[in-house]
Amino acid sequence: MTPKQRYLFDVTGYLHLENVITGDALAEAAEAVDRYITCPPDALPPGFEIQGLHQHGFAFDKSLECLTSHAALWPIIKELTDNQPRFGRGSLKHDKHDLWEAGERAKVNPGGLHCARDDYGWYSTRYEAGNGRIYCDNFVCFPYFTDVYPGDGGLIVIPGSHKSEFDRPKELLTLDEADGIDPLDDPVFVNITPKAGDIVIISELLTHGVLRWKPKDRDRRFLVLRYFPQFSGAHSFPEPILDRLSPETLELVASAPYGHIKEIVKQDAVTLTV
Amino acid sequence: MKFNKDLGIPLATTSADITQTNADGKPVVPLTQEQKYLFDKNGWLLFPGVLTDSEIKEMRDFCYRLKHSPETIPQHHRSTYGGPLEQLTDHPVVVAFGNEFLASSYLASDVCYGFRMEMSFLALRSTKDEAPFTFHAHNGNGMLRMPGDCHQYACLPGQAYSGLTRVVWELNPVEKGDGGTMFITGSHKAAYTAPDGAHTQDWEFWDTYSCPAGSVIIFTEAVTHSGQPWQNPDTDRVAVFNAYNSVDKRWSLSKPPQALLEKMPPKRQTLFRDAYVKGNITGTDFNMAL
Repeated sequence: MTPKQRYLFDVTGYLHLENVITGDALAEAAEAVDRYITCPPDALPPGFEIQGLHQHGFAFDKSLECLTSHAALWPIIKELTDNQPRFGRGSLKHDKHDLWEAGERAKVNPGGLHCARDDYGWYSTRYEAGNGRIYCDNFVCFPYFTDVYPGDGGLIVIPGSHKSEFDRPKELLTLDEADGIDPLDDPVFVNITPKAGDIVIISELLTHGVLRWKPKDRDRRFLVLRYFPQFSGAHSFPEPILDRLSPETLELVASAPYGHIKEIVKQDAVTLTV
Repeated sequence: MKFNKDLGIPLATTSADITQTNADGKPVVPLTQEQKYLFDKNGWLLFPGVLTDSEIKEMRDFCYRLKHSPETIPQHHRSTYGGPLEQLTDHPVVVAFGNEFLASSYLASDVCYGFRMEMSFLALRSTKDEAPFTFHAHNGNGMLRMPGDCHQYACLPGQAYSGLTRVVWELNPVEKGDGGTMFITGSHKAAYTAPDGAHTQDWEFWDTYSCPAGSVIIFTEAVTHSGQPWQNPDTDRVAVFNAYNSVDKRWSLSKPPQALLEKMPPKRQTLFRDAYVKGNITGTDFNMAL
């Protein structure tokens, strides 16, 4: 993790890594994403299913699985978990214009703002800075396979909210009544617009939400990769998914005691061997 | 919850209970939850359009006289503490902010503010300035400063202390790009040294604001910030920079002229009292249980 990345993640609660998946790696990953999305549900390989998200999307293809320890992410994953990472979940999100409908949820909480503090309790998630490093025990990485442009919609975040000590007002954002779904534009949030090959990293303490995907001729495709410390919790991947994973990913997925250093963590860069 | 000094007993008073009017008897409206949330998160907060048109005109004219013809102003009013600007020193918005982020409740009463005023100066900038104001990034990392450093920012769930606090009254409109004060939002809580880019004005993480005339921007001096050259040839920047601190601290020796101070209402005078704690209150007994 570079000093600049550390400063920005600390101040804002998120990082936007630009153009880090490139060339054949991006093309192969995007092709695999397309295969999962276009595959009829009854033709999906064992273990895969669509429940809102395309479950276990990271395991659908090696070009996606390798992103869990991508070179641009690996030093960050190691730092945020104090060299004790566990990969917990990795779904594929496919966002389209016609998936959105006006409803009560938009009225109550336009933008769908939430964070770990709201969802799991103030005591649930840690963000600390110490010994020149950041410790964050619940964070998410979003590798993107399609482009997002200003005005398209997608991920919104409230910079700095990962350190907020005051409760977020319930009516922080105002519903755009004419739209019925999205909030009115507000300087309190930033709409992140990654391009294919970018990766966005957020602390789960960062208040975040989503705007309706507006383009009708393009969709939004990205992985949702979740990381925790190895000594906290355990994965719930079904056996057919585990059977597909490389030894390195299996080690990353595994729970382990405090202080244990996994073999992959000793590596500066991880290459899947199978 | 805040504790008093004895055995973890909670303070009996909240910010909404103290000093509910200013020296002119104007009501102080406590900050909203949104204002508290945004200030704590960002390190700065804009209150747009606080002053009336007549107040703005009178104050702006006074500022130009201060700069160009000070001899037309009585000696004791010849500063940004004086004339119509005096009412800014304890404007209800300032008192509301001070009550929440600066005041010690046991040093406040109906006739005594729970915080101090530190200093005041005029920033009258134009594109014709012979020596344009220069970009100069400073401060930040307020959470990693020990008590005694006025640039400290401290927070606990539901409460925060802003330390030395700047209050900027913009008496002309400011558009983005004109040259208002710049901030690295959230940097009052930064735990790390700013990267090289932060020392350059065009770094993408610098924020600023636009606002109508008569707006006020309040920021903790713990947030990384900077002035910048004024860019709008059609209007000047006419801004009054005031600063506030807690009653136990003093950053500068700035003070209104004695003749002006003596003419101020007694409650306003308490903004300029000496910096100490024990017994430093009027209108009620000193009682740290409050």
